[in-house]
Amino acid sequence: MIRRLRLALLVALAVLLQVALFPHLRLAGAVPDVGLVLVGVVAALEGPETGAILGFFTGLCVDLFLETPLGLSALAFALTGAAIGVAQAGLLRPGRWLGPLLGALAGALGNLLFVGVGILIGQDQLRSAHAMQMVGLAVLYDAILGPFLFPLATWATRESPTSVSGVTRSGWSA
Amino acid sequence: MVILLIITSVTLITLDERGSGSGVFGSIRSGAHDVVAPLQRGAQDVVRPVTDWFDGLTSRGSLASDNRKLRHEVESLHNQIARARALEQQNADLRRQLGLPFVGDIKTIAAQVISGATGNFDTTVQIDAGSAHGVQKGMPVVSDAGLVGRVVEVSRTSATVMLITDPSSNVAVRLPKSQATGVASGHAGTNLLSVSFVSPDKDVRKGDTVFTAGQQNGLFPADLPIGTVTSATKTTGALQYDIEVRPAVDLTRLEFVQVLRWTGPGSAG
Repeated sequence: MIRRLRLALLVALAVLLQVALFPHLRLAGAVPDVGLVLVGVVAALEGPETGAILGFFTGLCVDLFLETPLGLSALAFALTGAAIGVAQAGLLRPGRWLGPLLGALAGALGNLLFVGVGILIGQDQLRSAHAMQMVGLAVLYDAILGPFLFPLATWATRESPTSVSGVTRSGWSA
Repeated sequence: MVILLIITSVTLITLDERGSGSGVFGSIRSGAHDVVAPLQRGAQDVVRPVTDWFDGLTSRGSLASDNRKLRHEVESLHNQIARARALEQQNADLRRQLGLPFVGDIKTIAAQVISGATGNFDTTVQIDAGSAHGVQKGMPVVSDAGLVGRVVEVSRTSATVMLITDPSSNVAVRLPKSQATGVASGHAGTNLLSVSFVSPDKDVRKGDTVFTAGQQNGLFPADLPIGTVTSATKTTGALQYDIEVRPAVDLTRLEFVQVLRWTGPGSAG
């Protein structure tokens, strides 16, 4: 219960930072995806199911502040959480690059899903070379953000049992 | 579980698309904006000095030569100050009487830009005026130089303005010099507009000014400045000009705007 509350608090903080602070701190016109990176990191620690659920609710909160249809970010974030949760069991290895790697991976997957599904449902403004350029810049920004969110996510999930891959939380050294 | 979340997301997307952002989802969005607006305003105040400092760093190379030029200019400016003070007073009086010259008798609501777009794929800004101040969805937004965009989302204390450079923004325009009409649309990733449907029979040239056409049932009143033609080319056999327009307003540095209390022909004032 306390773990869930901590995760909810972290999601609220990530969304507030995304909405209130980072629009003022653009790098080359791009903002980082704080919520998306958080989903990626938590999914890596907790597995696909927690990643997908956290992704859905985080994306839904972010959707409230976008002009795209409600549910688009929720879908993209949930699928990203699920995919990273699955990948962490077999592909991701602990190490100092894990934080940036997870940030970049979450940013790339989430943004590409957002753009791809957006185009499918008729969001024509996403069908441009500029959208791909923004994805690239956001991925870089997300990679920088990854290591900062890792300790927060570890704190929020610390009471959970050993992670799916069998690596204890203290074993993640990013 | 993942399948259930996918189905829920798709259902939400469908419902929101069908409701065009109004109804329950619109109310939830509006409430969320109200909660966050004071934080956006606070963040703007805190972050502005830092971003200004970074802006200063990037232009450091030219500061030394600028300094020399400015010292010379200061002397001549001293002489002009006395005259400027008198003119300033006169100017302030006139402004109070006239307001924005191109707005005519349409009443306006002053607002400050409190935030840019939340995501990477929107071309919007948040302003600190909402339904409590009289702002409604669809109202045009201008600055002292011309058209900025239109209101697409309203909460009680804030509103979202879609800029004219958004790819999904279309504005009916006219070019008085050549008597041409067309539709100005945004380009993703640039601060330029492209004007379509201008007949190649017209004589459109670089430097021509572009205004809103104010057509019947249009989204904007007539004669709001939009920008200046930066290039106008017509290919042999083409059915229309290829026109690029630089907006009159620097949309990357918006600070204060005016929302026009105009929701369609006949709504002025």
